[in-house]
Amino acid sequence: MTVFKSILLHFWKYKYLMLIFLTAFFIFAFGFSQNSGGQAYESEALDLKVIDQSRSEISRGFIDYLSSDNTVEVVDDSTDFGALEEEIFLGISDGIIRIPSNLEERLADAAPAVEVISDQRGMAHLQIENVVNRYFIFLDAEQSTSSEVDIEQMNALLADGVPVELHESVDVASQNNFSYMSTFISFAGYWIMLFLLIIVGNVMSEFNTTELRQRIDVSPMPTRTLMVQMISAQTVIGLFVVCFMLYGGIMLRAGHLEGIPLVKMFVALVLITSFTLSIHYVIGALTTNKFIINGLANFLAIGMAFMSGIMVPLEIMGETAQNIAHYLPLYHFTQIYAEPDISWTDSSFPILIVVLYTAAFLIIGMILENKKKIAS
Amino acid sequence: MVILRMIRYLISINFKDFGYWFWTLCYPLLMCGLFTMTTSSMGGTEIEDIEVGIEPGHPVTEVLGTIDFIVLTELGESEAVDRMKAGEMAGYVHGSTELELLVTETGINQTILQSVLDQIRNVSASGIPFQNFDYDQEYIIPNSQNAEPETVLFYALISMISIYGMFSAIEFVSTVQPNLSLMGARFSASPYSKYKFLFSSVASSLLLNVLSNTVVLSAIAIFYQMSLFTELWSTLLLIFIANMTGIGLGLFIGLIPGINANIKTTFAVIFMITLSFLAGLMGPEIRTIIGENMPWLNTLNPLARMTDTMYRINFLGNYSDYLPTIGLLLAYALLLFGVTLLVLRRKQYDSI
Repeated sequence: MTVFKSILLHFWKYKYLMLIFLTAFFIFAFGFSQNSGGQAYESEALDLKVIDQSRSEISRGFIDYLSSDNTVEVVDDSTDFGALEEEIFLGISDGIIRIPSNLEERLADAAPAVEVISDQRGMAHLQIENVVNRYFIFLDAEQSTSSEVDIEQMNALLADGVPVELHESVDVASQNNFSYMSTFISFAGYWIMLFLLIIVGNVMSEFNTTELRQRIDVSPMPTRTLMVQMISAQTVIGLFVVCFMLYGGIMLRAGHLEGIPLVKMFVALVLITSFTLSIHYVIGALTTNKFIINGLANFLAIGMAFMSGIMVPLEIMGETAQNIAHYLPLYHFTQIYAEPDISWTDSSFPILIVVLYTAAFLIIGMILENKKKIAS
Repeated sequence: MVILRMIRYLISINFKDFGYWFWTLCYPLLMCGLFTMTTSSMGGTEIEDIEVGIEPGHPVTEVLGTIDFIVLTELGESEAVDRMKAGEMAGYVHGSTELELLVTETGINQTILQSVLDQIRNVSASGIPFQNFDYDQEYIIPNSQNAEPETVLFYALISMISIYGMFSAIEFVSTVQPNLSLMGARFSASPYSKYKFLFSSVASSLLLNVLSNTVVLSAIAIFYQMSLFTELWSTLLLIFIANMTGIGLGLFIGLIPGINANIKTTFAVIFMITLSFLAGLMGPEIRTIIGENMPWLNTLNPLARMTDTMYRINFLGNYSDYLPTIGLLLAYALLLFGVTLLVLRRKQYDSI
């Protein structure tokens, strides 16, 4: 067990880094958990900034009307307009509505009433138009019907919407539980890849230094024993990280675990760990240069996470990116637990794909390792 | 002349290291290619028609049919539910006595549909004659501000590569410390000035990283056809200052006692990735969450500051935080250089 213990001792040198890595993961995961949804249907609230230069009864009524279904922040004239536009640029805010000081005159002259700044290419813009037009259409209609308009009464009328029901087959609570945990596990998969490729990569680059390799080459230890001990040590670290992350996720969502395929998620994490170790085996056989190891580790982990829809949802990517995603193991990793009620039969195909990828990389690694040995 | 010769030697050592070039050139270029491929259709969202199911013979069929962004299909509830679950339909309108909307998920399309149905219900409930509703009247002065959160990814990447000088700085400090390397022991015993060596190392790291940054930025502009730099010179100055900060960070990390350069490099990679992620390298959402919950973190994070300043000056023409960002980056650099000089000067060892 000399090699096994020696590798674990090498890992121990990185204990603080491992701690930082895991802490950073849980900080991100905790951030995600703050945004989990409710228990019933909720319409999508627009995030709007309103600059009210009119300060009239109509504008106040308009703001009250907007606030009933949306997140509205009324900002001063003195607010940095560039900062508000920046929020739209970053996708934080859906739009800015500027109510001019001469609102009433504009309405009387049948001129456009308010200025709306938003990304006109998106569906949110359509909704802003709908919502704004609805108020002023009703206001005009009320004014042309009776001489005096009771804004409060009109707002009460506008607040009376159609009943919206979620189909009985949809369990919102379970769906939210699943949605959070699914994001958590996908993120954990990505983090495990990054963690193992960087930490194991650097540990093994130390272990693979020329002096050590020469000692290993002349030692009486059979290659098979050496490999078994190396892989066992790496597996122990991998399993420790997997259990730590999964248990952490369960703790974060204690009491909200209904409808989550936890066993399949565990299997997925174990498989992605094996896959990552097999990639590392190939990288280790190719180089001991820490810059190449770090570069490849980052590119493979971030790259696959991007292309597999872990960081940015696949639906909003281009068709080419979506097609490429189907060839990546991390995509199949996410498909193992793709649905709350996914059966083992449905999970078996993505499981098989990840296993095959792992086997393929192991074989490539072995070929490269043998070539290296023959060359030395 | 001695300093120039040392700079040349140090550049030559790094220049011959393929790993260094892979990390500073290939990796950012690969990432750019990846971002270009995955984000090409993120910003260009389009207003699409909303597929809506409706109970056959429902009274609002005619009204809904006149709305140009709604595509109406008459069908039964079970078929509609199947299509909604498959993501092919936003909602199902039904209800004989009262208008009702059935959905299987929450989303912007469902919200728009709900809003349209609300309006139909409000019109009939208001008691106002229908001819008094003027649907042709324009109430909005439209102005567009495109949402392009995907650009944050590119700027976060550029911010990240701007501080890559930290890796050669770590090598330098590890090399110059007599208890960590043979070279350091020789330096310690030689009459060569430590400050000259520090200056040469900073200068060589700066030159190499500026060179690799230039290649990456040129490649982004030429190969990926991206117009990320409308304010080129201001951006280049920012990147140059960030290079100094990166080198300062590397020198500081290199000072951590008792651990070898490998662990320091790994620590630097993790530290840099964490800062980059917080700045938006992992997607704009994380940056937004941090901005909402811990804005101080983005204020102190040099990469987040740089990312923000770059998109502000290049996309929004907003220079309000340009000088504060440069000031912060310079302050970090000076502080870290100062600490390095203090720690390295006149250090003596009982045995090395």
